[in-house]
Amino acid sequence: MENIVHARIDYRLIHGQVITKWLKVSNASKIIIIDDALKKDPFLGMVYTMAAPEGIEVKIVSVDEAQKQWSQNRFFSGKVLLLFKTVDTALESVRKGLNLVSLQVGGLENKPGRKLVHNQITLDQADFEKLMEIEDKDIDVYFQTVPEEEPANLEKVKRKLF
Amino acid sequence: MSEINILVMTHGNAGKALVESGAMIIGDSKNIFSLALEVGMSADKLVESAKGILEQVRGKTLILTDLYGGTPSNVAMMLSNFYDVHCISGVNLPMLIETIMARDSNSDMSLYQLAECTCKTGKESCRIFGFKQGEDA
Repeated sequence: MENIVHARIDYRLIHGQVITKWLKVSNASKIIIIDDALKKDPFLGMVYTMAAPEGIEVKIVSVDEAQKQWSQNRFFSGKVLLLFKTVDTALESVRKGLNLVSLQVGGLENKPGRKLVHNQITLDQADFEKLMEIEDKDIDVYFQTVPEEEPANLEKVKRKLF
Repeated sequence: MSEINILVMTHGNAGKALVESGAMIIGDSKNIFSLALEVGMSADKLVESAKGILEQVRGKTLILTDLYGGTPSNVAMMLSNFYDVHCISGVNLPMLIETIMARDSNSDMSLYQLAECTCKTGKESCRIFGFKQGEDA
C-alpha cells in the first residue's frame, strides 16, 4: 500500500483545504474515500466526485469493499490520497488490515462536549482513545489542517484534552 | 423586474462583504442574500441555512460561490438537485454587479441566460494590467 501518498480524516471530505493544498503537496492523482454511508448515497457521492479538480479520479468505497481490495494488494494503484470522514471508519479500516505509515487528522465534526485541541480541530475522549489504538499499530497519527501549520502529535493534543 | 434571486455563498464573510461592496457602487438591490461557511461549520449546517433562504424566496435563484470544490460550492451542487437554481464558482465583484444589473434591466432573462452572463463577466474581469508590458517589465 505504498501507493497511499496521503491519508487524512476530515469530516468535510473533499473541500477547500484538500483541493487547494493537500492534493498538490502530496502530488496525488486519485482520491479514495472510504465511507459506508457515502457509498450508500450515490447522489452525495456524485457531489464529491464532481468537486475534485479535472484529471483527479475519485472513488468511493465501503470499508469491506476496500478491505477485499487491499487484501489482494491491487486496489491502491496510482498515487492515492485516502480520505475518511470519521475516526471510527479509520479505526475500522485499520482493524481490518489497512496498513498506513501515517494518518493525518485534518478536521473532526464539532459536537457538544468536544474540546478544541489543535487549530480548528475538536476532540473528545472516545475519539482520542480510538486514535491511540491506531497509533499502537505503528501508524504516525498527527493533527494538521494545512501544510504551513506545524503538525501536533497525539501526546501534544492530549495535554489540551485533559 | 425579473424575479431571480441571488445567493452568494463563501468561505467566511467574503460573500456578505462582496454584497456590501456591490451596494457601494450600484446601491442597494432586492433579493440578494449571502451565507458564510464559518470555521468548524459542517456542510449540513450550511445546507440547512441555504434551504431556509430558498424555501422563503420560492423562486429561481442564482448561487454564486467562491472556490469550486470547496464546501460552499459542494453545498450549492447538492441544492441544485432539489431547487430551481444554477450555480457559478469564482465569484468576484464585477460578476456580482453585472448579475444584479443584468437581472434588473432584463425582466425576460432566463436563469440560465443570466448565469451565462455572470460567467462571461467573470472571465473578462480578470486581466493583467499596468503601464509595464510583458516579461521585461
